[in-house]
Amino acid sequence: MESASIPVGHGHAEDHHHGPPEAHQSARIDRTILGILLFILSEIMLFAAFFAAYFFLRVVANPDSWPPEGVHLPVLIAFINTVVLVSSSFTVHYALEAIKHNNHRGLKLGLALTWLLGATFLFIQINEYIHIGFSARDGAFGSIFYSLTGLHGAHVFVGLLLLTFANIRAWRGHFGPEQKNHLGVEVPGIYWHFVDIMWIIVFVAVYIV
Amino acid sequence: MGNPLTSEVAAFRWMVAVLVAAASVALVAKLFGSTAGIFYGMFLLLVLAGFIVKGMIYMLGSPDDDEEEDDVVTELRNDDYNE
Repeated sequence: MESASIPVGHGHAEDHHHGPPEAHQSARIDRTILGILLFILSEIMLFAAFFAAYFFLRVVANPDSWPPEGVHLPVLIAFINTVVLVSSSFTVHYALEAIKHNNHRGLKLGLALTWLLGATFLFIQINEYIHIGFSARDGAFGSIFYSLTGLHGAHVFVGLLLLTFANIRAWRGHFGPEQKNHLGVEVPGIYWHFVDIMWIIVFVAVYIV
Repeated sequence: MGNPLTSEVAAFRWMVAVLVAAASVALVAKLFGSTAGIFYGMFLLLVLAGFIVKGMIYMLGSPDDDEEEDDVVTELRNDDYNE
């Protein structure tokens, strides 16, 4: 009986593998992509929980007094901040397109502009917190306002950290036109677009409608 | 528009699509009032959630596929045993 002639399961791998067995993995999805998928999904669920609280407070708990009397949100400043953040998505996209065409100068310019725009966004948001006139302790509106915008601000901060590393690596010449050589720009770029999408939803939900 | 988890270009396109959808929510809120804007926005969020679920099923496959694969492996093992 020659059972080894039919390749079933991981038979060949086990023949030469020493030590503990490899962890089970799907044949359909790469491990790194699965990691990104689970990470982004957990982020979406986190934001969804905060949005659920926001819409519950707004639609069910306080339908007639939202925002509470005396509270004036700085819509114009938030709109300018939105333009700043959306612009940074275009610059990070420009940076990636530049390195795909072996344009290192464009890459550095795009990443530096993205970082500056992201930092400007955070600076304006902190400035808004200082002058907005209510705190997280001032009722349900204050709590959910600071929770939602603060959660997003924390994500911008993390994105800025990722972009800092990307900027340093760009100046050191670590990136190239092939895809495997610019993953260090592509992955922070994907994260940055995710942060942008979340802000657009936060801005429309909190400041516009 | 492509998978935004594997391509920055696809993620950028999704961002632009969300931007356009957000502008439409703002327009609805302006024309028909805040409540209409909220419900329209929630509807669009549900559509977005549908895309996410569809994308997950596409990437991960359905449990039925796993069962079919298990059946094939079991058949191969049975053949092996019978030989």
